[in-house]
Amino acid sequence: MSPVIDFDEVAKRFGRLPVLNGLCLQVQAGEVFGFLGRNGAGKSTAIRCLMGITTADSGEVRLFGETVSPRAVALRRRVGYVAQEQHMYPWMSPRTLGRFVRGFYPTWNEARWRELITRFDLPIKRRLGTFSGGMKAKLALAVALSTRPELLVLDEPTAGMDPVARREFLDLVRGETEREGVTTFFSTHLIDEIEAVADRIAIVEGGRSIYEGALAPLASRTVGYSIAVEDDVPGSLPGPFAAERLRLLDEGVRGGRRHLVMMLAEEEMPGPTGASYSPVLNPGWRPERLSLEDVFVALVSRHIGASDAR
Amino acid sequence: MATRALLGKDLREHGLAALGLLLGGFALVALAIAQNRAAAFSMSPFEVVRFALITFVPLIVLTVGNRLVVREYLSGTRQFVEALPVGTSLPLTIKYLLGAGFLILLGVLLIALCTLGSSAADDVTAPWLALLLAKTVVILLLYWSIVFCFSLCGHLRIMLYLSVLGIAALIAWSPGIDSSRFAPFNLMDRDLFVFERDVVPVADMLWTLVIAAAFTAGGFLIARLGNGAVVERLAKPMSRRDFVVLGVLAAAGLTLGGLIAEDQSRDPIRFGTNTVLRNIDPAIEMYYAAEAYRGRSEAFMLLVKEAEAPLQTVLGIESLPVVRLALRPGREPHDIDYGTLDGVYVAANWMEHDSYDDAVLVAVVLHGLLSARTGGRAPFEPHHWVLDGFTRWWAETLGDPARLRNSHRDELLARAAFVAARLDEDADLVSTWQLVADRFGYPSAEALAFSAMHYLSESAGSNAVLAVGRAFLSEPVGASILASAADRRRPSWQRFTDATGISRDDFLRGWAQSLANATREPGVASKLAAVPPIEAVIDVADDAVPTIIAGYRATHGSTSLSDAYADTRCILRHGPLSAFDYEFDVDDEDELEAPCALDEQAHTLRGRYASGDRVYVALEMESPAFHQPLRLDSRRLNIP
Repeated sequence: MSPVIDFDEVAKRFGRLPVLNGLCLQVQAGEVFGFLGRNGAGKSTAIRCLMGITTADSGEVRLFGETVSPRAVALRRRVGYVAQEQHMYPWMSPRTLGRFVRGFYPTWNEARWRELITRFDLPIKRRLGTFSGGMKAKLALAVALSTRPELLVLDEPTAGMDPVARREFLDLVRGETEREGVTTFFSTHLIDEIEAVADRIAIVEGGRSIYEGALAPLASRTVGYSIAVEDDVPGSLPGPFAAERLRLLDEGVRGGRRHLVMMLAEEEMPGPTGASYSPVLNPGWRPERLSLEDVFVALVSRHIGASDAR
Repeated sequence: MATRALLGKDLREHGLAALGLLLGGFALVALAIAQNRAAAFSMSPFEVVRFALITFVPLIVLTVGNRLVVREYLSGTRQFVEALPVGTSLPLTIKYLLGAGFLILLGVLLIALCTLGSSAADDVTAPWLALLLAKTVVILLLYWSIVFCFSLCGHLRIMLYLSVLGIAALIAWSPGIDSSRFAPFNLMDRDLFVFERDVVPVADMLWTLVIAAAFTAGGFLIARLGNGAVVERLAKPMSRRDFVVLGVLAAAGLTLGGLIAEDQSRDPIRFGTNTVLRNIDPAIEMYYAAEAYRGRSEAFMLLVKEAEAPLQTVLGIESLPVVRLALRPGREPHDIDYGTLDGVYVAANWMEHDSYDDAVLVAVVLHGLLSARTGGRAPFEPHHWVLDGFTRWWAETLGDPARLRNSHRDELLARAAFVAARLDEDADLVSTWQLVADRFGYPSAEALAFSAMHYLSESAGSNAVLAVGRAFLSEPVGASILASAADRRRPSWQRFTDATGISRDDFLRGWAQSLANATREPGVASKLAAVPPIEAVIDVADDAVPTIIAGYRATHGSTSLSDAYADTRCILRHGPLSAFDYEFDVDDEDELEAPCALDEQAHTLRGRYASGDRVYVALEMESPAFHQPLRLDSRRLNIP
């Protein structure tokens, strides 16, 4: 079965600025896929290519097995899209917005629209100009889900929301995607959002994917250690790691200690049982607890460092 | 489905505003038509369409573009639409068609409204209306295409509009470019827009549509460039670099405009040093052409000086512009060129003048001085009669009624009485003064205005006349709209009554009575007796070749004229009128002379004017009893 989304060596430049630089990733049917990257990493451009709003300079974007660019309009009918910023008409109410949008989707489900509006607690007759960012995002999600989409694309939908609204929105996304089983492509720069909803992720940096896979192995393969600066021997490693199976992601001195973040090769991992990895460390070294955010930052930092070095 | 959704959305969003714009446009057009009807010199109501097209319709088009396109792009709602399953072009196409449809509807309704306001004189026919409508629609499509294209250029649009406006102004006003010869300017030519009936400017309309199509295509192209990235970039607020570019372009435009203005500027009129007389206070320069003319010229200059200096004092005017008088020895005594550029410039031949002719010319000089003093207000209604009457009264009396020569008085009052006798008994001689000038010529209208000042002087004293002069002619109207409005707010008669203490009705009644009484005075009666008892007959023959026929018939049933009028010349003077009923006076370039006889076909003008032309025809008599021709009557003719 062909993937729902397939980016194949996609490149895109704006003038002299490369935004996508050979992006490759695939999303399978039924997945909730997290698309993670810093601001400016190329996420929105990738989504615009996916939606057929803009075309790639090279490479190919396939949606439901079809190349997007010649059939963008027809393919977009099968996609529910929640944009980063909700540029809805401020003079419309949810009622008039529904009337407007349903003209574009043969699959529009009016009953579901009404149900979602009620469930999301949105005032049906109030002008959208008076809606908060969170309400607009919920409304956009309701619109997207009411089209009975085969794919739900969320482009940093929580940007600018307060923590409460963000939590509420993510709960709705999780609930609805679980309920409908719809393939979901969730773009964000906040790793905790991904953690809450995604089955698999891709981390994009500099216009290409630097990690694609499940979230859990990423967390377990990335380890952190520190040593007091005065005890540190330059060039030493925390333990008996095989250098060829080790990727040093990040290194720095904080609070009088030298910190290392490393990604280990799969062969180094304890196996499918999920047992924690605890090698015998050299004197002075101690393990550090890494959050997913630390892992993300380390991964991205390494990539930036590599790019700068090039 | 998508088309209907987009159409419905735009109609819901802009329907009310569109209705408001339609009603607003209607109100303005209705107002213009009503004002035109009420005006003394009315124009065709269809001129209002042209007026609308060059004044407020562009603003309506801008508003439409702003609402339909700019708002969508600057507010970012375009991004909402582009994420929907619809192509890039469909929303834009719908907006273009909606805007075009609305403006075409506006054009149709404007023409319809003007048709309702038209009269038989407009000779409304279906082909003519179709031509007017076609030209209107083509121009509206051009406007809309430009606005549509520029609306997609985000913050650059202001600069683009200013550039187009500058280029259009340059083409329209540059003396070296005849904009009436090429599209789209000639479609709005003031003489052709309404009055062209026979020739359909197909090529010009097509060319205009090509320009419109180019702008439209440009708009769609901009929207598609870089998958919309260009439009998106332009929709963002101006960057510092944009401001710099805009500043540089504005500076370049100003420099270019300055260079053009400098190129078109002319040196002020200056006389050389030879054969020129100069007076410092008041400032008068006189070019007398040759030493042989010096003596007479000095005498005339003295007359001007004697009239100007005390006038300045009695009206309380601090300074007056320089007067430049140029002698033109070959001219007829009353052939006068007059302008108010660089002060007052008058070119005439005063070598053969008698005292009456001198007074005419001095009044012309004073007319120019006070026109300039009032910032151009005095020669416009309803002040013009005061300007003409006062300046002539002053030229004749210098403020002292005892200086008025009887011969001058008799001739002026005879002219005034002649005119008054040909108007309705109830006619308000002041309100209809401009029409009198148009019908009987300015010499007679000036005499009528003089008679009013003369009556005022005799009934209330010369100080009353001076008070009127001060009230109407001593202060310039401010340059601002508010000052102009304040000037208009004070009715003319109120100003007169405040100055003299005499009510309008009393004055008009007394003045009319004084004219009636004057006809019984021997001097005036003898002048009037020199006018043959004839009245003018002017008609257009219903012939294959347009023919104007004019002549004279008896006023009191006589069958022939006595020999007493043997040295009286009867003259038809004529000239083409423009599409507008502007103030107009014939010169003696085109004239036909005939003996003054009872002949209703004394003058025949065959084939000189074509069907559709408008012609001013005047019948005048020249008699030794009058210094200037006495116009018997005149008409503005439409050649069928």
